[in-house]
Amino acid sequence: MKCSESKLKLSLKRRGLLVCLALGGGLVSQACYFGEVTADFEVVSTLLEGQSFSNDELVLIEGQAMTLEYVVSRNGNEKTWKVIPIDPDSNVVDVHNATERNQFVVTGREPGNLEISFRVRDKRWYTRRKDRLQVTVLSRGDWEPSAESNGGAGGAGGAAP
Amino acid sequence: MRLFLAASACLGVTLLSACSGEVHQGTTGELGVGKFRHVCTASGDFVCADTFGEDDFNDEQRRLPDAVAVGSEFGIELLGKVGGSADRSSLLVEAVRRADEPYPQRFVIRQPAEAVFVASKSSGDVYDYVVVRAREAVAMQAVLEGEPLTELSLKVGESVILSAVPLDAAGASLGGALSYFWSVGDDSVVEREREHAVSPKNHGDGGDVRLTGVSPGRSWVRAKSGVLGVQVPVVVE
Repeated sequence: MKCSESKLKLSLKRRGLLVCLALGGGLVSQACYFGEVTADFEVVSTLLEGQSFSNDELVLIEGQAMTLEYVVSRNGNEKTWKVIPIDPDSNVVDVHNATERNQFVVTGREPGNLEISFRVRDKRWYTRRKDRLQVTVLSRGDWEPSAESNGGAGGAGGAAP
Repeated sequence: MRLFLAASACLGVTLLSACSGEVHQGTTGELGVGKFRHVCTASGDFVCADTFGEDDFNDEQRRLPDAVAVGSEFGIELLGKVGGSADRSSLLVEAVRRADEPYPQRFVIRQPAEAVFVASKSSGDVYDYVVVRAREAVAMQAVLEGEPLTELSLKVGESVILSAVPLDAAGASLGGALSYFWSVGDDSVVEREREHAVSPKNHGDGGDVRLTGVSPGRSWVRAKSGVLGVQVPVVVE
């Protein structure tokens, strides 16, 4: 092997090492900079009868609504990043933006079960995440008016379609 | 000075309704952004009973009642307008469950439930929403000038307007218009006259009736709605 070839190989090895170090350092510094991003759902409306909520499942009765706030934090600091709700095109559930930032109104239109999701993006650093929520809309169930009431077709509610 | 400040504060607050219990200011929505008012779509709705006989019984910013009667008809409107100065508009209130809105802007909840009614912007964003509870009516009460009535005394030629109010199991009044049928025992003693011809689907009478003493004697007046009813003895002197 000629001396010049050996120098070239060494130089290539050094360059590769430097690239690796740079990439590794970049990743470490990036990870340190971004820190841990967490997202939580919080119910901000009063729970109605039959409603329940955990961080990955929401249950409501048809005709009801629930207001959720999607809270994103990085290193424990709450962020006001843009959140986009995504609801499948269905008659079961709708998710609407509320006036308050990152608050969403989930409405149960018909009984059923489906998944909605919330996509969040930090514009500057392109941190992206998508959180899913299973929604179950329960039927109001069958109901018969009590004998002494007029809740049925008997007389009240002449506005039947 | 303190008195002056208190009076000024009260005057200011009065304008915002807190110093006067009589002023209706609507019901604040769940999101705390908008205010909603109850709309009486027909006369058989006790919420508007205090203005029976007036031309427009919806000309107030009425709060929503604690509950409406199952099967009754009612409306809800958002108070005020929304948007910038150039594009301020009134938002329509719609039922989340389509079956709760048999006709546009007229709502009927057909079983005990908590139903949500939403005011949405043209963008689809929710401006605010309210929850309406529907309870089963299990009793009925006759009311004269806002007070429950057990017996009615009239003079010959005197007229009063009597209302029927549905009650839930706890005895609380229920909003929303039901259909009523009014009758009197002896129309040679007391005469009934329908006060409002309007009722849900033009079916039956309104929730109130005008009674006039015709000649001295005893009779009764009865309101019926489905299997519910209330009967009040009438004495004409």
